[in-house]
Amino acid sequence: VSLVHSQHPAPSRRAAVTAALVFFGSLTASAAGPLQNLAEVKELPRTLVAEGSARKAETALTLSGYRVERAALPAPQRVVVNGRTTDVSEAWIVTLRFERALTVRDQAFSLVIDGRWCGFLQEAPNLLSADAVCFDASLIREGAAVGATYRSIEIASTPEAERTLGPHVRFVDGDEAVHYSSARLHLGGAR
Amino acid sequence: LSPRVSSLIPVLVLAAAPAFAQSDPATTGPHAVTTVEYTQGDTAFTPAGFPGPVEFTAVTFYPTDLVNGPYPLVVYLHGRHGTCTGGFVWPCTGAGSIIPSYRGYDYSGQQLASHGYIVISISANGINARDASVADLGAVARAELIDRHLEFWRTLNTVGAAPFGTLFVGRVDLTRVGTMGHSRGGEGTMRHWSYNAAKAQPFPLKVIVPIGATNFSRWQVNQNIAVAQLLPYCDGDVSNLQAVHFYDDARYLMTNGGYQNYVTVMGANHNFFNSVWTPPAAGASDDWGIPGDPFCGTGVGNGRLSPANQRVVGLAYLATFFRTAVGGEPGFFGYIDGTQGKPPTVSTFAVHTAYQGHDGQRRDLNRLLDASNLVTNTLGGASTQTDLSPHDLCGGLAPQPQHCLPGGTSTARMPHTAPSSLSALRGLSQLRTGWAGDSAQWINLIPAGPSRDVTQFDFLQFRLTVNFADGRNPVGSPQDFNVRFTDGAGGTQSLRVGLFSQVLFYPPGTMSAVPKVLQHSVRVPLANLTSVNRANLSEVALVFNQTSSGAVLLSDLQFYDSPVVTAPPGPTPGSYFTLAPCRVVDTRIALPALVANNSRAFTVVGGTCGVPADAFAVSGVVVAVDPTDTGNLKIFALGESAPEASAINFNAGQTRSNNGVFKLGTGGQIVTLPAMGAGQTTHFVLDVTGYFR
Repeated sequence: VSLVHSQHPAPSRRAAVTAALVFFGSLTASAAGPLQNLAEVKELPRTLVAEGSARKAETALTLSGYRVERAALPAPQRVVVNGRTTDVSEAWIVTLRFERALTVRDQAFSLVIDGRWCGFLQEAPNLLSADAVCFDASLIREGAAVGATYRSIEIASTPEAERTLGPHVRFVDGDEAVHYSSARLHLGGAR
Repeated sequence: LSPRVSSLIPVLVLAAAPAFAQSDPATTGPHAVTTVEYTQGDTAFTPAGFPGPVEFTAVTFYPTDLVNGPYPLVVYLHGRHGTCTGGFVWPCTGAGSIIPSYRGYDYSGQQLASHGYIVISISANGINARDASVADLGAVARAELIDRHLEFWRTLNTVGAAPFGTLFVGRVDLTRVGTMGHSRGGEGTMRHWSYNAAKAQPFPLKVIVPIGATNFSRWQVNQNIAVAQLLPYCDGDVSNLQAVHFYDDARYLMTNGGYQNYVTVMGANHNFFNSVWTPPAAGASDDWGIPGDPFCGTGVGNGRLSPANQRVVGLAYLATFFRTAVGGEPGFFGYIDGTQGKPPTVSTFAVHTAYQGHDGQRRDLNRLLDASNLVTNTLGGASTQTDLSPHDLCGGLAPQPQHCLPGGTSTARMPHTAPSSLSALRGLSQLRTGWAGDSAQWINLIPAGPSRDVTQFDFLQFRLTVNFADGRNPVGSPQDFNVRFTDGAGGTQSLRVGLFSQVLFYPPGTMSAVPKVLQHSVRVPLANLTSVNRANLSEVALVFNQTSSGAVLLSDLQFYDSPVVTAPPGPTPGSYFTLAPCRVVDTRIALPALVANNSRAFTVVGGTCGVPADAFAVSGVVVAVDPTDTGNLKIFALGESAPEASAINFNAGQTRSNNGVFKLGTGGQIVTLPAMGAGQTTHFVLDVTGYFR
């Protein structure tokens, strides 16, 4: 896997986005015992899928690089993907690097791939990176734009019974004081 | 269990202060206060499903004279912030020292304890460090943390426990409990409400106080409990003020108790309510990150509160909320619903209130929930309009548009329809209306029958904000209009809303998350109706004839019976004395014209007009003469802050006059402050027609 990238800005803020994937309460396993939280997913063995660095840190968040790893789940886990409950057997841990230390904030910090919400980012101890677990295989693709935002994302068309976490998201344009950063994934046929 | 201090050493932090003023909740009370920390360690327990252990640590403030208890219990929970000076981890082993966010509310805890409350402020750093790894971003974990501390206090109150031994046995009134949560801590307190309700022995919560809270999951707290919020207008973190959904979602679900309330603190940011989140503390910052904004920024003339003043507001309202709802102390409720204005220590700061009482306190004239309410109101009467455009509903369930402002507007500027990170629920259904000319009106008829008798109600009330996105509102100018009441016999009377309300202001700020369309309660006192029969009211009309054009967003048209328990003693009413009209100010005579954005004081008492030195207000006619630009003029008492409402609005080259009553300040002086383009001028004339003393 290789890559050089610095394309920006990424997805249009006006773009209506279709899908995302979320954790559904705590993970529930279809077969084996359930994983209790996303931290347990991050502790699983991982395989590197893509990694890259920006030539120049981007936007106010100073996004400077990313790393995508795949983890095979010990048993199928039930999650909500694109508004539908489904069983998945693999997950992707996406780590974003930043040139300047993040500020710990209360607003949710979201991973966004091609404009779709795909997990909440957890800051690293040194605040120079953050990672999220994404279950949506369709988003891990050649040329996808990956970014982070503190924007409030809009969720629509979620079945009420599953509204605890949400599926369809889109950005609304505006000059918020919150930040959006992006870099371009380049998977190079690694998958 | 071990206290943070090596032994239980009470620290006397406040001396007795018997000067208790009933009408001011922010005074220091008569009890000496002891401050003690307690802890079971930084890895005391692991909340269910949480990825790591968290601390069981808090500081408590309590009246030293516990023997005079039992005292009510109030719980504080901070929000998400750095955890350790050397890294964002938990515990802090090898990562510096603990950032004690839970000590950021000491200023309030000490004050409340001095009035006879036991206050605990809980540390939640362990949750902060890992809450992005659980589905709800830590809300349930925070609820469990609160519950653990409450159960600990149940034990302290019954059999005692280390490190306090039997000190608190029988001294804690667990029938009166309240919670405050800041930011994610606020969502934690809301989540705790349902967590607690599901217990076999729930604690009787009296009030929940979220401050700048998150509302990712749209928790709905509605079973007759009071929810009183602080919303920081210049919040640069939870900048969309999504906590307003707590109010909007529950406002029609309170059947026989409780209320929904929020107080918007203009100029407040997210962090400064917590002193540990305030620079120069480690990891602290001003979360409002756009210095160039004219209101929330840091330039000359901005509207920001200093950190100290922000906590003055925080202290006053926390005291108001808890002393009223938990302590049952009389005299402060009017600061919650806004009918008595603001606590005295907040009088110079701009705050605006929204309040919705339970079913027994209201008669809903028009809830404005769906399109049918544009034809038939909630009482079954006709709802009609003339010359209003648009006149539709927005923000609520489909087919209403999801947002009320044009596409592309930041959702941070539209709190009532701000999206929720973990919910697809829509926002507040609200009336979007506007006018040009003076013939526009919105009429709601009241059907014949008992609904027409509104003698039990004190106010006509609704929530409203000026729609800054509609160009018919002159930038920076407040709006005004009349409410016309008609009775069954045809008697009518109009009351000008601007006489009674300060929420018709043009939302300030120009950058990022401001301005905002955030609604606040407008109240028109029914006691002022002298020409209509309140026992037979047949029609209420909003008549938009006080300004040439405008646009507003509006919700919750209702009659309101204020539950003010005991009014605090007010000033002795003054008497009014008429004067022959007399000119006390005329800048055209040997004085320079007023200059835009420059204040100037004028002495009103003494002189030839006969206003005595002990007058505290005058009535008169104010005139703007030959203004060189469109603008407005504010008039206020010397020594006080400029109001949001202007005394007169004018266009370039247009001489306009208006009546008014003007409070006199230091030395019997008033201050004028024109708002116009830079360098523009207007002459100013004031004729007095009477005075109060």
